[in-house]
Amino acid sequence: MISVTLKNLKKYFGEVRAVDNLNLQIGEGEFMALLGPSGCGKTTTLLTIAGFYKPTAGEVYFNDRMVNDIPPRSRNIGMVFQSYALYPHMNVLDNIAFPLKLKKQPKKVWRKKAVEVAKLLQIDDLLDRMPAQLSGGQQQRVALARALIKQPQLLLLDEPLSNLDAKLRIVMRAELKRLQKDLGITTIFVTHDQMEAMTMADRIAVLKSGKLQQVGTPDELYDEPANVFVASFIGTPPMNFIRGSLLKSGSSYVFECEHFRILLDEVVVQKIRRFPVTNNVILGIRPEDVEMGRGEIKGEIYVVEPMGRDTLVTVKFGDVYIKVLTSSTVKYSIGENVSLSFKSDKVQLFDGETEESLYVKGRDER
Amino acid sequence: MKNPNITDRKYLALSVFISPAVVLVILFYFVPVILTLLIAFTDMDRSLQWNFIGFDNFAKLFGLKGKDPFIGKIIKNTLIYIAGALPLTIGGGLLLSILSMKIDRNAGVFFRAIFFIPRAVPPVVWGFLWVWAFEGTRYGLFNAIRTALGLPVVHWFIKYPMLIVIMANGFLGISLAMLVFSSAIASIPRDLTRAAEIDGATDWQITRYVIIPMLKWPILTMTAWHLMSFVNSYVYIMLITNGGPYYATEVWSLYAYHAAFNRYRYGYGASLITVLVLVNIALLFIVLKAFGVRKMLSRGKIEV
Ligand SMILES: Nc1ncnc2c1ncn2[C@@H]1O[C@H](COP(=O)(O)OP(=O)(O)OP(=O)(O)O)[C@@H](O)[C@H]1O
Ligand SMILES: [Mg+2]
Repeated sequence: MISVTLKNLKKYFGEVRAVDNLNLQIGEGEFMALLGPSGCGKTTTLLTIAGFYKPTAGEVYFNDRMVNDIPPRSRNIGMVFQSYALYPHMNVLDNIAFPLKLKKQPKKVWRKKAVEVAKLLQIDDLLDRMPAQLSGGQQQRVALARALIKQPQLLLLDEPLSNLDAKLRIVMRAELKRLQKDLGITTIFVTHDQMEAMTMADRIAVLKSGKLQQVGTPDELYDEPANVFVASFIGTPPMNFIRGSLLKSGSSYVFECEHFRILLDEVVVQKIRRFPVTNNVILGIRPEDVEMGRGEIKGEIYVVEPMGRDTLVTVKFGDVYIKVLTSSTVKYSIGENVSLSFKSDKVQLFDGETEESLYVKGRDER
Repeated sequence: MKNPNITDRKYLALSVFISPAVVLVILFYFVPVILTLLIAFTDMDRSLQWNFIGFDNFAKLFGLKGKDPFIGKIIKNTLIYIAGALPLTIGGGLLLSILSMKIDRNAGVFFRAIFFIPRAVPPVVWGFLWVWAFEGTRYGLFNAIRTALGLPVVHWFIKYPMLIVIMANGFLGISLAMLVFSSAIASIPRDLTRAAEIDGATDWQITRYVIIPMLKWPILTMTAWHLMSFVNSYVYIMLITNGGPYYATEVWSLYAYHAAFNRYRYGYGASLITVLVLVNIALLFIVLKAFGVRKMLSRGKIEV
């Protein structure tokens, strides 16, 4: 297994900066997710790591070796494409065995290995079928088998689950994660689905417009988002954001907006690493960290969305809307007046201008 | 319930609109075919007399009654011509389209445009170009070059007439084949060739195991198309060698033309054409059978 290092990696297409100065380390055997909205440069990053694109600037390292000039076929990579890219004129067996047949391995050898991999992925009963005769999930397994048969030192997966229906996706999520852990292959997994990244990856790199926003474990991204973008991208239902000012009153701090003011807990104040240039800030709080029923914030229920175990309640204060995740045991109705409070240690604070978290050091200091 | 009046009116309108086309087809297609068929059973000549002689023309053609001394050579020429021009067209088209897709995009377009020129110029110009290039005196292009280099002139048309004719027609075929193959290659999903590359395939292996198999339908279509075209067309041969020297490049369709319009043996020419039509029908049948008619006419010539 190898580690992968991206150093100041840039890939421009004319004016478009698909990858903009990316620095990232993927450890041996690690499962890294590249997460970001459509067009943020995930596929471009993957294709650059695979060697299909020459970086505009910067380097790709496999272990300590710079691989910029090594062609894709010599990089010993397994890759699953978003379209699966199965060879339509070959049956499943020939598709899976293709990498070995290219190496002119004897039929006995490649056949045996292909059957082994097919068994591992539970597609050994499909070997005679043509790709067109397979379901999306089966095609995905064939593509995975073809990527695994040559025992690659690095596995690249480009949104492998996005073509599957919702149910199968959840099944494959778990299977893929287990398989990766069993085989221990360093894996880079591209997705725009934060849930997929959160559930599967050891670490997640969040990208936006070609720029790295934050790298960390799923818990780190969830609990300590580096900026408003990461905070809003990760977690469902998404975090609530309220613009306001941060005021000092004596030795404590107060967050004040048009409709309410709250005294910030000592825990929160402790976390602040730097103060915004102006006192303009954004307060972030996740729907599950808002408590209904008591507290000094008073509003009116705008809409109630039952979701089974939980109910999502939207509370309105003037022109501010806050989503609250509550247990379904308590019933609420539209128009009802409620008061609520924020779990004090869960409050996030962001600079109102830069949208960077106040809990982490600024970009330059980091 | 259908209103019979409306249906009637619909049919009336339909027949009014369609009848000119039907008349044209009958006038310019069926009538000539039937006329040709009829003439084939006469010994019609310059005097245009309808004198029916039964199967005599065909008997002569097949050497059963009387004998056409050239027919053996004509058949041989036709086969050599097709055996040369068809692989040149398909192989050349394939090679050039693959090469032109490999190089830089704009260069590729330019490259393909150059090879499309023969299609864009009138047949007479294309024919003349070959005549001029291979002219046997020192005024021909290649002989001018040889003269400049101090080499003796070569009588190209005497030495290699069939080769020249095959190349002139083959290059023409290449332009169309290349266009069709290039667009087929362009529509092969990028991920597929990338997958092959990641799997360890060299450029040649990608071409051999991924690109060419995916061109199966375009290759079959172009093969059928050009097979029929080479069987039937004689214009370029007529312009370049006119079948000569001494029947060296006289193929069946040209021979039929010459019989009818040079020697005014309309009856015999018509019988030659009739055989050609039958060969065409047989070829068409074989081709459709081989392709599976429905498959060829349906969409998805490139399997994805
Ligand atoms: N070959 C190319 N030529 C020009 N621009 C490109 C090319 N490939 C990608 N881009 C541009 O680079 C940016 C990043 O594209 P990329 O395909 O990497 O996005 P992505 O994150 O994979 O998006 P998606 O989730 O939609 O697949 C986009 O703005 C895209 O338009
Ligand atoms: Mg993509």
